[in-house]
Amino acid sequence: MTYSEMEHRELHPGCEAVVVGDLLFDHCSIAGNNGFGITLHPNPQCLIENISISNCVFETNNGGSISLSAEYCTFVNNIRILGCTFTHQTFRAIIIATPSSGVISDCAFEHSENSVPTSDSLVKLLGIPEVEGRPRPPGHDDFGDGSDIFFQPTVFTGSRTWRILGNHFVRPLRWDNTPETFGGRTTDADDRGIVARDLGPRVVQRWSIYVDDDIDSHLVVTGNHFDALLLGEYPAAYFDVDTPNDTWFIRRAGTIVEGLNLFTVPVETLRTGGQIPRFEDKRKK
Amino acid sequence: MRVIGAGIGHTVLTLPDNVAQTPRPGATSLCATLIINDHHAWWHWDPNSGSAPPDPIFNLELAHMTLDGNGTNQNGNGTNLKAIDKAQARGLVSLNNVGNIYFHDLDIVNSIPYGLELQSNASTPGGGFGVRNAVFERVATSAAQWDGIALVGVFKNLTFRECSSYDNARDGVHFEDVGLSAY
Repeated sequence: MTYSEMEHRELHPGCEAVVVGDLLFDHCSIAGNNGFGITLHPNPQCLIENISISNCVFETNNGGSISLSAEYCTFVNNIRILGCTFTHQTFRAIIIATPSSGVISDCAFEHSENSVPTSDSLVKLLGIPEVEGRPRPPGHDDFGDGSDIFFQPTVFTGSRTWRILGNHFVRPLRWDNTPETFGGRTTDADDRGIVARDLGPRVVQRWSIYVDDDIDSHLVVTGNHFDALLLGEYPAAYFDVDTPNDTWFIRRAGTIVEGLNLFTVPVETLRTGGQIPRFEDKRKK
Repeated sequence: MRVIGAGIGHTVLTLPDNVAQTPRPGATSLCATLIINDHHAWWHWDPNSGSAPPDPIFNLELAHMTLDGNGTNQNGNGTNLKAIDKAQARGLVSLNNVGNIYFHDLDIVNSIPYGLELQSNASTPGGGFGVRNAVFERVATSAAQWDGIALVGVFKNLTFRECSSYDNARDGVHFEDVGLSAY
């Protein structure tokens, strides 16, 4: 089911359904801007759909490359970001708030070795913000945690299927972070260049995939390639999934992992493409 | 209407030095008006603040030229203009309520605050036409004081193909107040 204009009208009877979209960027170059490459700030209760950004190059945009509804609650359908290149990132590459459905496919995300990577995630899909009366979980803000993919899904009716397929994430092996990078938050970096951020009760590590919050949607992550994965005891992926009916897939080299509970995936498993074991629910211990 | 130059770098329209982008004095018309090089903008429609939405501007083609806002020599203050009337022209190329426009092979540089600005009539009750059915091909915007391309309000069916927006002080492409509640 796709969230439609009709659904939008039913949910918001006092609001004339505002459907904006059918927007296409193809083979464009967006570079060197001090803000975002492309930013779209909708008004609350606005339906945005059919945004396609394909074969574009984003380079050194200080605010990030693509920002859709980063600050407001809205409903975003059918976002397609295909075959784009994001280079010399110094901040987030893509941030989409309240994303109902979409696909990010065959893109390359790269931090330059000399850039100043922040704690923010390269691809960040945020949940519904406070304006809808559903405050974000504690410890979460717009900064994310520096993961390659950060998924805090929305709790919202309608289709919520996201597919992140065949992308290439490249990170520098060594990050040179400073506390200022994290907006003044307490930070730490160990000798392997792994960056931790103190969010209070826990330390959030950079993951290749980080999925948080109660999930009521479908996320398919398949065929992506992650370079510069974290080493040591830190896992490559972290999932915190409460809803038993959710379906999650990580597929690599023919391996499909379905996870329904809290589990982590060791880094070596993803690097080698081997069978990823099913992990137990740690919360039941 | 078609305004076709001889090519980027061959047809160069440059704003004069040391001028300000100012509201059109005594503007009262609600009809869509296409003005060339008025208010020190190449294209400008002044919606004023009225009760009826204006007729949209249709069927414009602008191509094969360089538009140079002359950089910081402009004294235009976008913030002040916005306070007077949000729909006033603030871009080097400003269009309000437009449809079926085709801009291609353009180089828009050194503008204050926007390079290319398209918007709906935010102040008119009942809304306006918005920005619809627009195609931009090989349009470059750079070195704007704010955004290279700014779109405000309701938009539908826009295509940017082989465009570039770079070295702007704010965003490359900026959509603001998307889906205004007034509509």
